[in-house]
Amino acid sequence: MFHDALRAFPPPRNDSLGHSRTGKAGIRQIRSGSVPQTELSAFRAIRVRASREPKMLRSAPSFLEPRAAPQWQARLEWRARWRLGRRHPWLLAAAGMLVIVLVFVLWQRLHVEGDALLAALDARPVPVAVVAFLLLWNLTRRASLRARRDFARSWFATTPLAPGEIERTIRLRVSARLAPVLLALLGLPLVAMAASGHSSTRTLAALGLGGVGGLVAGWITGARTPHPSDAPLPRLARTRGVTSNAAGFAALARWPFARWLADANPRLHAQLVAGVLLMLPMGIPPAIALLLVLFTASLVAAWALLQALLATIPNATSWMRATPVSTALFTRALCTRTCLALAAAIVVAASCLVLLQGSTSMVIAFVACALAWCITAILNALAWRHRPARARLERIASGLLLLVLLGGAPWLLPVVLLPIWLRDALRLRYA
Amino acid sequence: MSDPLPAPLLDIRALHAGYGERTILRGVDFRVGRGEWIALLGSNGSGKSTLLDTCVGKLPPRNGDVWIDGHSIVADGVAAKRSLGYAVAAERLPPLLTARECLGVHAAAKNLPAIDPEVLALAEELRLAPWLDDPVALMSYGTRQKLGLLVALLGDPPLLVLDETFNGLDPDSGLRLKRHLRARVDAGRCGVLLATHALDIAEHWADRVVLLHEGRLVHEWRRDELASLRAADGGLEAALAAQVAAQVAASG
Repeated sequence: MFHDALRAFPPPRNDSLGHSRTGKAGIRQIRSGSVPQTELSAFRAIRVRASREPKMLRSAPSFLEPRAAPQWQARLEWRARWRLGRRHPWLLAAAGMLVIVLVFVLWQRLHVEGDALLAALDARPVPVAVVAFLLLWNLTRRASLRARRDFARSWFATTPLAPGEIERTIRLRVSARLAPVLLALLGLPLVAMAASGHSSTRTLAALGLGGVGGLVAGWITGARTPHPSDAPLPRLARTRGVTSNAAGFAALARWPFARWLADANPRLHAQLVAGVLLMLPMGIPPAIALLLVLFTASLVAAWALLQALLATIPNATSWMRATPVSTALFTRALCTRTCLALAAAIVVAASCLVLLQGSTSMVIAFVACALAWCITAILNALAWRHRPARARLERIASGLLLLVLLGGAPWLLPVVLLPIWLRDALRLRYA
Repeated sequence: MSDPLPAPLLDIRALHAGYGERTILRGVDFRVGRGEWIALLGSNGSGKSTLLDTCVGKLPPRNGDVWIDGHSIVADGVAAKRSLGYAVAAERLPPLLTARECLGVHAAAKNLPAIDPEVLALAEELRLAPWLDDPVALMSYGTRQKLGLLVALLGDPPLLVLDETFNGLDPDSGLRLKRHLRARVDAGRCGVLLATHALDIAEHWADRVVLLHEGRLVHEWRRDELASLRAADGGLEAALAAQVAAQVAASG
């Protein structure tokens, strides 16, 4: 029996990179329980000895692409992520199903409202182009800066990579970051056209021109910014003057607000408001324009505050983990003030909608959706506070689910969300 | 500081560097020759890591220049980095890659055809073998430190720059590493610049010890002085404390 297992579970072979491969037949035999435990442990000991000792000196990898080390690393990291993802096949399948349902719901909605959307966009080609330009300019510039900063701080910074190779790596990283945005920006009108059967070349041309212009401008301005490792972080520069006399748990409560201020990007917010103003029809009364700007500003503020709180929760958790503070006290101290501020921002936005003559059902739907998303995201971050990566995945899944329900069957929202909240609350209480 | 060797591997001239509005290094002049092990000492925040970051091209100098094996890190960074081995900090290693993949990728970045057998043999000696096919994320701090040093040794670079590399290592591995580095240095294969707070390494293994204080090199102990310090009461620790106190008093 033992020798059969040994033959079925051979010592690892080395591929061209020196990676070991294990015998799948042996693994199957062990999983099925056909190898007794005593023999198995002896076998493991032999295999470990056999695999560890000579393997090191035997491996003499040869590289197919000696100058593309960063790309090779990226491929290896994707492979590692895929291996990690395969451990949760049901989670992957559920996420895939959710995306398919979302696309289906989007298709259905655009089939009904695609004409109106395209007509509205067709009527304003210049604002559409300007908004696309601003969006792509900002995103490209930020992605370029981030890629350059990450590279300058990475372990490749001290290796003799040629400048052309570094540029290629940065271009690939920026492209990977921008691909989803480009897909959404061009995909939405294309899907709307396909769903409604209405052709809209003006909108496509405006989006294309604005988008390409924004990409080019963003790339140039991002590349011309001073050396990232030499420049102080903008966050540090902005928070340098901020001091706090808060003590005890008040300091914990202030943390999300400090992060909110530190992450604030006034230039981006100003461009967002400008985009909203550009999309307004000509001759609109100033009071209504002001209300729309206020509505946008409160939504932006609420979103930024929520993101700050979600980022602070795992940080504060790891900081406070070794202290005897209870979960209830920790949650109350960290979240109460931020949640009140969030609620206030949502109320301001809802009031704007009321003053803009929005229907009661629309205002109620807006408040319900905003609160539902905030509660789901915060509970989720608290429940998975020790595992931020899992929390992020859960948040994405919850967001997709919320979108599907909003687009397809809003009456199902409480039925689906209540068990999720209950699960997260129980996890928060007992985990 | 005087220059004992005619063709230094690392030549730092009138170096000024800093972050944002803060100037950390103020006119550092310093050389490391082949076959020399230099220990860089200094209080926390004195600028040791900034000096090393500037030497390896991670931080551009504001003034002055750094020459590695005759190539300026500013004007000809690629050629300069070909002669450089920098121990990657434990937190900078890519967490998803296995140790073997880390070595492979870094060897590729240095345009090597394969991972040096000598590096693999050292990994064996440091008992890194059981973790070679594990992701970096699963490794302890000490194991990552070993991997960071092995990465620096890839390609047998003439200049090794190490920043607190011996922190977190078990005593046995630390001793093996020190012996290995000493053998390389004695064979004239490389020069080592090590920033450290471990005075035993500085006192017993280094050829020269230099003290950095508030961004300036303020004192140097040569090999003969180190030998006499080893015999003296208090050794390097007392001498260092006296120097730092004198500097603090002088700066008011």
